Amino acid sequence: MKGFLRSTAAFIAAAVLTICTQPFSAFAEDEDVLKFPSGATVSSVINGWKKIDAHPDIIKMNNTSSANVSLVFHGDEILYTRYYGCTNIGEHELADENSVFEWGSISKTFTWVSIMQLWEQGKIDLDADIRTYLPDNFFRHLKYDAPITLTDIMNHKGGWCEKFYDSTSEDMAEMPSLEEALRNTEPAQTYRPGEVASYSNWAAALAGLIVQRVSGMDYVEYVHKNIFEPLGMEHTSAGPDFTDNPWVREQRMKTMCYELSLHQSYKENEDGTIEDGVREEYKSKGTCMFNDQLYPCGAITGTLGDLATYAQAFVNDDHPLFQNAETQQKLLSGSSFYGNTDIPCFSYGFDVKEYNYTRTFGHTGATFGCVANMEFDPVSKFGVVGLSNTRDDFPNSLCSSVFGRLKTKNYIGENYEKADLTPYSGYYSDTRTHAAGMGRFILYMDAFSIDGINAAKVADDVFLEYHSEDYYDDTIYGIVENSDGRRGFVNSCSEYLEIKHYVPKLCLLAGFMLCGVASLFILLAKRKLNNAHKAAPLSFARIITAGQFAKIISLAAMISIVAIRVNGDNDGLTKTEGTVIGVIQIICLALCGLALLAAAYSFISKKKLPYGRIRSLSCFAGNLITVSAMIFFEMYNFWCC
Amino acid sequence: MKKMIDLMRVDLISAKGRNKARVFVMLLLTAMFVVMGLLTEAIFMVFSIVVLGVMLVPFITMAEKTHNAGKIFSVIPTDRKSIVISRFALTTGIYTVFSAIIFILYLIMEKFSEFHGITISKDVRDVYEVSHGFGTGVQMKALENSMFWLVFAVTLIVMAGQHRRYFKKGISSKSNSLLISFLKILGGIALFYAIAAVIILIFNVDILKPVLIVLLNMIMALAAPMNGLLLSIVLIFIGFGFTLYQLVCSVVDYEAREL
Repeated sequence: MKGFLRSTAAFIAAAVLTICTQPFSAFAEDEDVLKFPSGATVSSVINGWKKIDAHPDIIKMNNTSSANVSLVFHGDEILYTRYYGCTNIGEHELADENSVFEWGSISKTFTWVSIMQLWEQGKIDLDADIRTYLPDNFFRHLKYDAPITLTDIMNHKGGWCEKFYDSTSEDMAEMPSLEEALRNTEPAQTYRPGEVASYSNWAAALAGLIVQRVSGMDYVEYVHKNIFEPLGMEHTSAGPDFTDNPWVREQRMKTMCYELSLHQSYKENEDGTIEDGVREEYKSKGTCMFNDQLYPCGAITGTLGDLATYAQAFVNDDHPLFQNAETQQKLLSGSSFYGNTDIPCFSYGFDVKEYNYTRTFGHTGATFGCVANMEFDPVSKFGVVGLSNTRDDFPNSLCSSVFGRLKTKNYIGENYEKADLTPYSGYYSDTRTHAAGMGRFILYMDAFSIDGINAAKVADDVFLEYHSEDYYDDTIYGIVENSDGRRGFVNSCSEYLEIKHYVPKLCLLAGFMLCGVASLFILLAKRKLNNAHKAAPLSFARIITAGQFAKIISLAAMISIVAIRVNGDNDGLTKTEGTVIGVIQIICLALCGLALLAAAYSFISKKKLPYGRIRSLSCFAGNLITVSAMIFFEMYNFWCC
Repeated sequence: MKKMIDLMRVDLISAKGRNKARVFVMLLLTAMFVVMGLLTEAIFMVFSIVVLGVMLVPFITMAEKTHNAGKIFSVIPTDRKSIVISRFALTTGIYTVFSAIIFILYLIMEKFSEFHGITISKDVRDVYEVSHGFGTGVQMKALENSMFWLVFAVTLIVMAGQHRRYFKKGISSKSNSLLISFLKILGGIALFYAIAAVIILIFNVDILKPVLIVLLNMIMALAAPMNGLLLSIVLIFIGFGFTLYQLVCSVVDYEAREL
């Protein structure tokens, strides 16, 4: 019902928008009437929202839904606030101005703001190698000698792949320092710095450490002093476990998090007609509180009002966060662009969204239990912020009414030119994945082909993905060619990077899995033959059998990585889990290697056995595939991933 | 090799003498699905290989009972291993050749799908094409191709199971009748679901989730390249691999069995 009503709200807003933007003389524009960037009149849209809020069904659902709170502002003025749903459905505790939610990755923007503040003070050079600001020999897994700059990190182009190990602590007493946590969870550097965009929480936290070291203050203290205090954000916490703001901790404890599932439901009306709809079911996940060791990347928690205050600072001409207006302008001027165009894909750590009538900046966020959205247009000074305690209920429903349709038709026009992607045909994978170490196989399971994707040309090497004449996707892509010859498609701070020779590599992975399954049946068959005293073992039969066991265990170890990640409440494997799996894989690798040699010896020896040659050969092939796959996919590598 | 061919001939000769009505039913069902595929959706032809595959093994083994052909095996100079291998080779060979023909027919029909496709399928395709884009790898065609070979592999596994039961326990008009074979398959599926339900109930579904995730991701990854060819090869490999395993077990069982 809530979804339906929201859709209705969006429809009403779209209708208002359409009417307002018609060039009929009867609707001659009144310059005094405040309008959203979408073209819709502010008062009419807000009245529409208020009518929906007052709908009896919405009021009724308010007590049984999770919280989804939103706020629309224009400059300093709050135009509309909606507190919908409960922070605790069981207790019917309604969300209000004191409810706190985790802001997730919006926290990163606090790091980027801090960096820009230090830059305008001349304490940081955005284009200097970050090693200048870090302890000696800080990095252990760098693959490239090329300098990594803060601009690279802000554009998520530091070159690090997704981190593999968990960076949360159950007990605050065991919480390591930020520097120590970064060292413990350092991911592999798999891309040349400054080239490939790969969203990285770890790198954002690293920037937090740089803020700490350059400013000489604890990161949390720095954020309080230089962002919270100037803006008057008293209901926000920046530290892990909310140690810096007990009120936020107390309020956060009251916020439960939910999992939303939708079910088709039918209701018979009094007149006998059947009404179908979607029933929402909320499953409590508890408080979902966690202590993030890499807290600069996602630990900020606070109220909707404080999030609005923060977002308003970026549309404020008095630039309350910076000494100079130029710094704020630079922050929102774009730091990386699509091809040779002036369309920014990212702006010093801030997301850029292209609407038909405007461009917004901001960030989204997601934690284990909450989701958040912040969007603002520095030109029109309108902004929308939203928070929710259900991951599946993203709080951006008001954005389309404020900013318009999330389409970029204005870049391609009515008579668009098709972009030919044939020269880039191949297999691609999202760079935000495990591109090195024992989780590397995951990359090869998520790859996709770009054949069949329709694209409209925006500029040279820039295109828009589209599906039909009427349906335009909001996503612009820039085509890049990296120094290693691999092509990529960049959108925002994400990139789909080409995988060379994908099919043979995938075959190797499939072969590894098949060998594991086949080994199980071979062992069963062997057992049957042994029981019937019909076994005719090959040379070094015990080693070969051990190799077969090793293949099964290795496959199970590989699956266990996914098992731990799916079942765990953390965001990766613990070091102990990783080490155990890695050591098991090393033992399996050694056994398969020995079995490979045994099979080779058996093949060349003159021992006469039934089907001896075929058996030796298949055993050799199976072990060769397994050993090759384990080495290629680095299944043993638990220290650098 | 000659001995194998002779043994296959024995099977074929005894099969020829089977009740004509049964042959008719088998061919009719097979032909029905082929025609259905030709007239509507080409993928429906896959059911014809299921019918042939599931009915083929009981058909040949029952023929042996009807004509006491089993006694021939004690007359002709041969060993039990050869009998098992020849029976496996015959049924698997017929089934594979038939499946290959149907697949070629399916591919030809797919080429002309615009002329005979039904609306439902077109809608599904349209929906799929709209959602196709960055991050989605599997095309409808690839899924259909893979589905064909999945059915092939599963049927092959069922056939191998039928063979093993026969060589382990011998012919029983009850256990090997066509109806019983079908009921057994249904029972097997029910048992599979019952065991899965018990596991889910006792151990919590989350234990199975990661295995399913890995499996599903791998299947999707394999289905994407070359219109599903890669996944098809893997499925065929699994089908023949399992048949080989059942063959080895059947040889052991048959040699151990008191005739």
